[in-house]
Amino acid sequence: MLELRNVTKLYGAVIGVNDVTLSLPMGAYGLLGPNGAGKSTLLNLLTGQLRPTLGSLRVLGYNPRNNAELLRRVGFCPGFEGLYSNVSGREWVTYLAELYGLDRRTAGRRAAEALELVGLEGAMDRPMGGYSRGMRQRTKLAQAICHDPELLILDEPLNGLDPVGRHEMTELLRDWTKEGKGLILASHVLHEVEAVTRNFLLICGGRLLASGSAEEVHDLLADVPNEIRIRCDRPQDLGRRILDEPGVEALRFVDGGEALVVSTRSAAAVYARLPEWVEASGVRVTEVASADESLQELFDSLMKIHRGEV
Amino acid sequence: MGSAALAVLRFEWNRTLTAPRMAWWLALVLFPPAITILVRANPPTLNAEYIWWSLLYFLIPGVVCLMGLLLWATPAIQSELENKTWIYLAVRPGGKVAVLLGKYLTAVTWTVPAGWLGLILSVILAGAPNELGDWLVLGALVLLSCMTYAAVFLFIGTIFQKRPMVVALIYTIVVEFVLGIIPAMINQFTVQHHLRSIGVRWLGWDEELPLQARAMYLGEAPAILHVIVLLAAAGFLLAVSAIVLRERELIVSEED
Repeated sequence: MLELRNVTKLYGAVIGVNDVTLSLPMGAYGLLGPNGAGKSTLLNLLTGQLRPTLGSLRVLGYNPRNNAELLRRVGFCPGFEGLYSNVSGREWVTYLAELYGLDRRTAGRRAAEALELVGLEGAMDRPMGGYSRGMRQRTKLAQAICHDPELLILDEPLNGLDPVGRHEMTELLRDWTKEGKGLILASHVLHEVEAVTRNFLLICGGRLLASGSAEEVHDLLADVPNEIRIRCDRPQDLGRRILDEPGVEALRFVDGGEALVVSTRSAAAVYARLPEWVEASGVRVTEVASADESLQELFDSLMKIHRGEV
Repeated sequence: MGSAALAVLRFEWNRTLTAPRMAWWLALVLFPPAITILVRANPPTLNAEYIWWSLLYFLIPGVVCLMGLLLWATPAIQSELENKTWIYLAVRPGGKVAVLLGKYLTAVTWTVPAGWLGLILSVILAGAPNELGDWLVLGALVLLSCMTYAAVFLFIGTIFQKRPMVVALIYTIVVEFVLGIIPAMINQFTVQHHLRSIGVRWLGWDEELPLQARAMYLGEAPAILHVIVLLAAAGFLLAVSAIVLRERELIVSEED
C-alpha cells in the first residue's frame, strides 16, 4: 500500500518529515503523534500535495505527485474544516464527486449515499454554515468516501464529534477496514486509533519512531524501563519489598502516597513476583496499570527514546 | 477535464447567486448607463459619434470588464486557499486545472453579460448612437476583453497568492492605463492596445486617423491578427497558470 524510502521533507530549514522509511501492505494503520509531529506533512506527501525533498515514495504503486490515476483511488479528509458556509452538504459532496469524473446524476446519487452513511440524511440539504462541528466532520468524511476509494486517508477525523458520533464513526471505519480496503488514520489521541486498528505508526519531530502492531512495537521496548503503577492501602510496605527485586530501577510514591510507580527493565519479573510481595506484606491492592496495557505508555516510552532520555 | 471544469462552473455560479454578489453585478451593469446619462446632459457637438463610441469603449470593455474581472478572477485561487477549501479540490484527479478553467469560465460568463447589458442599457436608456454594426463591435470587444483579462487576472492571482488584488490593481493602472496609451512600441504588450486596434478597425475609423497616430497607437496589423494575439495570450496565460498550480506546493495546514 505504502512504500517510503528515506523520505525527507524540508520547509526551508525546518524539517517536516525526517528520513522516513517504511513499507506497509494493504490494511488499516493509525498514524500517531502529538500536534506538530509531522503527520499532516506525511499525509500531504502521500496525497501528492508535497514532493519529498529527499527520498521517494509510492502509494498503491504510484508516485503520488500530480497523479490523477492514484487520486481516483484515494479518498482524503484533511484535519481542518474549510467548508463553504452557503452551500448544502449534498451540493458540495456532489460537486466534489463530479470532480472525480462522475456524471452529475451518479455524483448526486453517490453523494447522497455517502451522506446517509455518515448519518447526515436529515441535514444534507441544509447550508453547511449551520452545521455543528460534528456534522461538518461527517460531511468531510462523506466527500472522502463518495467515490468508493481503495485507500482512505483521514487526518483527525473524530475531532469535534460527540461520544455517540465517535462511536458511530469508529464503527464505520471498522467496517471500512473489514472490506479489505486501506486506511491511514492520523490522530494525536491514542484511544481513537486503538478503537479502529492495532497497527500503527508513531511519528514525532518528523521522525518515524516505530511502526507495526502494538505487540511488535512492544518488542522494541524489551530493554526500555516500563512503569508499573500500583495503588494499595500501604504502598510504603509494598515498596520496601519491591526494591529488593534486581530489575527494579526506581520507585516513587504518587497521589499523596496512595500509590507507587515502579520503574523496571523487567516488568514481567515484577508482575510474576507481585502476588508474593502482596501476600507477604499483607497490603490490599486496588489497581495495577502498566505499559503493557496502554498505548499511551508505549508512546511515552518511545518518546523518551527519541528525546534521548533513555 | 471538460466535464470537471463545467462542474466547477455550475458550482461557482450557484454560489454567485447571493444578494451581495448580485448587487456588485448590478452596479457594474448600471455604471455605463449612469455615466452616459450624465454625458447626455451636455452632449458633444463636434465628432459626436466618435466621442460616444469612445466613451462606451472606455466604460464597457475598459472599466466594466476590467473591474468585474479584477473582482472575480483575481482572487479565485487565493480565496480557495484562504478558506482552506483548496485541498478538497487539489486531491481530485486533474482538480487543480479543472478549478482554474472552471473559475475562468465563471469569471467570463459573469462579466460578459454585465458588459453586454450595460451596453444595451446605455444605448437604449441614454439614447446613445444605435447603429447595429457598432453595437456588435462593442459586444465583440466585451467578449474579447473578458476572455483576455480573465486569463491575465487569473494568472496574477496564481503567481501572487498574497495580495493579488493589489498586484492586479497596480498592473491595471500602470500597464493597461499608462503604458497602454504611451505612443511607443511598448504599448503593443498591453491588452488595451489590441482591443483599441480591433475596435478602431472594425468601426472603420482607422482611415480617418492621422498616419502617425495610427502607427503609434494602433500599428499596421489587421484586426484579425490582434484577435489572434489576444486569444493566444489568454491561452498562454491559462496554460502557464495551470503549470504553476500543478507544480507549486500549495498547502493549507493547521498542524505543521
